Amino acid sequence: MKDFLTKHTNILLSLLGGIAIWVFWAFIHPEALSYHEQFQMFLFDTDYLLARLALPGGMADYIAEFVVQFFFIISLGAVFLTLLFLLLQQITWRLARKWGATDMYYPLSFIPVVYMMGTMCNPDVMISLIVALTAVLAIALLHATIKSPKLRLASIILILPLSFWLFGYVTAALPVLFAFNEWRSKQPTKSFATTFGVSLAVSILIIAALYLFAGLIHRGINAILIGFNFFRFDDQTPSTQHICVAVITLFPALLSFIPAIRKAEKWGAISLTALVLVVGAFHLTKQFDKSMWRMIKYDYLVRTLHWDSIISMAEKTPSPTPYDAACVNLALGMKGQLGERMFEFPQFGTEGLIMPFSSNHFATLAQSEIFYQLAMVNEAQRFFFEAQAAIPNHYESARVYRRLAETNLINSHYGVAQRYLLRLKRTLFYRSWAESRLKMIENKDLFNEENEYYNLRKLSGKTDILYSTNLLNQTLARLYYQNKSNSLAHEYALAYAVLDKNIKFFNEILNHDAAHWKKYVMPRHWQEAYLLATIAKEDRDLPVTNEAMEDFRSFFNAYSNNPNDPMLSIGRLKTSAWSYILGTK
Amino acid sequence: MKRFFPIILSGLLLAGCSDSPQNATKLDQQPKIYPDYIGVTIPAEIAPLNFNFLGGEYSMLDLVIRGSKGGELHTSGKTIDIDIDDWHELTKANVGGTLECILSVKDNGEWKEYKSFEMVVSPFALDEWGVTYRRIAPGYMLFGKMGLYQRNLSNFDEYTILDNEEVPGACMNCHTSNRTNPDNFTFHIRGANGATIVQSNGKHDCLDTKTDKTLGTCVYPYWHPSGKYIAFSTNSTHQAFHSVRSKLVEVYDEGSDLQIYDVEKKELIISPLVKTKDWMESYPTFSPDGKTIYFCTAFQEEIPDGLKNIKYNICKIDFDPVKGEFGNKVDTIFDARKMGKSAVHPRPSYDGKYLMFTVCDYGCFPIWHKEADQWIMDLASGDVRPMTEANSDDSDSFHNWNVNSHWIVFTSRRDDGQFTRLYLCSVDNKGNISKPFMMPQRNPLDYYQNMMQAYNTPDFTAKPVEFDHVNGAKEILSNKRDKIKVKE
Repeated sequence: MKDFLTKHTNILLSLLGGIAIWVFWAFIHPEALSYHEQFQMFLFDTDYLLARLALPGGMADYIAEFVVQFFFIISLGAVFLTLLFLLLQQITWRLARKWGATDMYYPLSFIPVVYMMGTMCNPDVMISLIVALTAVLAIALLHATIKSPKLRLASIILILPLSFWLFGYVTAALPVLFAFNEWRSKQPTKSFATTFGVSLAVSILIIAALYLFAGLIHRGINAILIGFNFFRFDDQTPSTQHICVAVITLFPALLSFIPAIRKAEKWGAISLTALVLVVGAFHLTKQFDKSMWRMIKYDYLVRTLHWDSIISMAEKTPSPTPYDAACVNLALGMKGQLGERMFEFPQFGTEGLIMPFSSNHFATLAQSEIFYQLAMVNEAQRFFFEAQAAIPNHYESARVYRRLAETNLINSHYGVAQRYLLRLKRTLFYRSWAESRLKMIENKDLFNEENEYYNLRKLSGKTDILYSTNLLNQTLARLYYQNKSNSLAHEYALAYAVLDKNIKFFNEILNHDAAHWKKYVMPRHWQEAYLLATIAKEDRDLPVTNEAMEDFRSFFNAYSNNPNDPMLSIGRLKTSAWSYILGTK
Repeated sequence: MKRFFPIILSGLLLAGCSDSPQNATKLDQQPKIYPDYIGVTIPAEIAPLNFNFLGGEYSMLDLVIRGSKGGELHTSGKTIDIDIDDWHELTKANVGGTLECILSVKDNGEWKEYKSFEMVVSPFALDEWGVTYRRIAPGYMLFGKMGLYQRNLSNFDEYTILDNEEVPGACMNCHTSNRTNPDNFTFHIRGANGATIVQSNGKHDCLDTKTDKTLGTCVYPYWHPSGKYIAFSTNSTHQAFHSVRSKLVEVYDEGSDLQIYDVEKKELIISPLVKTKDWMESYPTFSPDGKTIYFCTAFQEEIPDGLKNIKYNICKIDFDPVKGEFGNKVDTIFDARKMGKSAVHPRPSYDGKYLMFTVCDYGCFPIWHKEADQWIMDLASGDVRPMTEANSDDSDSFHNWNVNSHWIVFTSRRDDGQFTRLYLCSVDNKGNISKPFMMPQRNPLDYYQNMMQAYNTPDFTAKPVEFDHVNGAKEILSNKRDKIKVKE
């Protein structure tokens, strides 16, 4: 066994590394995969491939998008991503080994993987960057295996332009790697210089050609040179991306420089493994923007309808932004807890319930989902459409198309729904879903059998009003009045009035269902707002609980003596509607 | 093996022979095809009207087209993909005649021949190289990828004039040439790098058209036939969103005026008659002689309550191109308000016979109005009628004439209710309008189903638009703009 372990240490190390990478993406950071998947739609057709190949770096994009489609099933997507990272590690090692690195340093070949994972903590660094880096290192490795020096030299003329077109500007590392290979292979100095010279000359020719023919591509020259899809915003490539490219492509060469320490190979490897783990964990923690990823996680949970997970996440870490609050409030609303618990969580006014329109491709998605659940179908459709239009690299989004197909089905715009569904039918993971919806267009009974759509159609607006953020309180109330089975609209109308501190309007909505509230116990926060709304009344029409009355007395006794009374900042008084409305927080 | 070779070869030949519709069962119905090209009138120069069969499953299609004046064309395969040269040879030989199309469909090894249908080859030439248009997602406030394109109508080639991959974040619109001649053209860039581009005889200006004496930037353009002026409206445009299933978007103006841009002097000519406080004037066009401006105007209403009361009439005012002055009175030539309607997009034919416009229930942006239809006015008699032959149940909207005034290109949402497509139809010497046909594509079903953008503001173009997009984009991104002034 010991012999087996010693003999296959590297394989085992890669296996363990692979498991760690998989666990990271599948369980620690699944929202990252969902984030990538939702902003693309890989199609199995020639036009899609040709559209990618028409631009420099297109093959890297194509392979990356092929991989990313599997992110739809997180655990499977994590397998693909892990394989990609392991491929990067293996090629890094093989190159380093070829250039003289000793086995002891095998653990260090994981450094590019860790570095890349850290870079990917920026959610808009695209998977195509890993693909391109892996491909370019693979090209360097294959090139190094060519035995004939003349053929090696001649192949550069073909390899460089081809690699540039397929894998983009990352190819810039190849002249250095080719020349380094000559140098490490102990070829005559002339060979090293010739290789570097030829590579440089070919690179200059490529750049010159790009300047000359850039007009045919209809893109800016900077975008052509730097690549379109290594970063989601192709006109805002961060400098960290270039550093990442330099570090990862040159790493095998650096690794090969470290001298062997024959006497301490075993312990050296163990220490280096520990070092990679510690440095890796530190690097990932440092690169990780908690606030941004929390928002992405909320979006992921909203997308996957995990309302309980959202609430338990908010219970652990209070939401620090209106975006987070809007997701938490939606989850509370979906679980019927908005009136009971909303002030247990930080609130940010009405913007933390219904977010204002934003031209950000990501922020708009969660708000679209809120409108969708509220049966504000037109608004949901608008926000989904805007989210699609806001995707910086202009890719189609399968998530958005799916929702647009649904909103158009609900709105009986079957021709438009069909357009989205036919497009989704060409994907791997949305195909069967799209086919089932296409059948609904042919057979309307199938639509009526789909409770979600049938209900949303029933609950959606019946009298036309023009959407306005200034009239949202009335819009929500009217949505509920039109169909009283729209319980979410009811919760939102009441919550909006409270968050807007419009107690009069809150009371109006509440009294619309006076009979109901005389029969059932009103949720805690609605009782609190109601007590405030009827503060001047001796006799109230609607019943409130003794507990609410006691809290009310305690709160106002303390508040009337001292609005900053510390008692107001503890327990139930702290998490009351009064505390929010009177601004004691 | 050798002795089996003749047998295999014969088998293959027989299999090949079975793929022609001999002894096909004749059906007494016309085929269901996409686009609906049955009975359409086409110019001889148009690209082949390829179509897709929608009548069910099939393994092979076979199409024979016979000209009434001679000639025949045959094509078969999984899709109808007619050879461009063969098609033009046939259409040109049959100008003023008809093409009889016989479609046979093979399914389960059996051929069925559908009842033939006809296409009419118009005696009127297209006289145009192609069309220009904008492609944009039919959306709301954001637009994603979009651009200005031109399409050769004799084949399927499309070329980019400028798109926002080159000018990131920019919205571009209203590409307009002078009587289809792109030696003079203008278009706008909106967004952070906003500008009005005016290209005249190979030289272009990047203009900032906002002045402190006018409402805003120049918006809807129309060239004076002399190329010396461009009539613009300036609009304060807003969007609103409906909450019911039947309606989605409303685009409306809260104010608009007319102004004429003098290309040489880089100045705006204004008049109190078309720059009024309570009325909104929009969509100006010059008559073919350049002495009249047609436009639409409506009384301003409070939004949102008065939105549905905004009804535009078609009016005209004189223009003196020598002095560069507006006339002194405005005449209403079509009182849509009286009919409870709103009339916009007046477009006179270049022969001066007709005025075409769009009629909808209210407002100035009929693309989002399902009820929007096109109407035509005989300018000599004043007779007005809806273009029933070309209209559909969905929004039929923006339109333009070709230079000989016998062809119209217009946008319509009849395909699916939202993604606007281009249609062409003809007007003969008696004013008869033909059934329109959707702009042909090599594989129309595949093309249009996957085209997730809508077509906007189409116009004919006599020749390809020449615009140096590389330097143009640089110029737009540089934010260097020529200011314009208002004529005192």
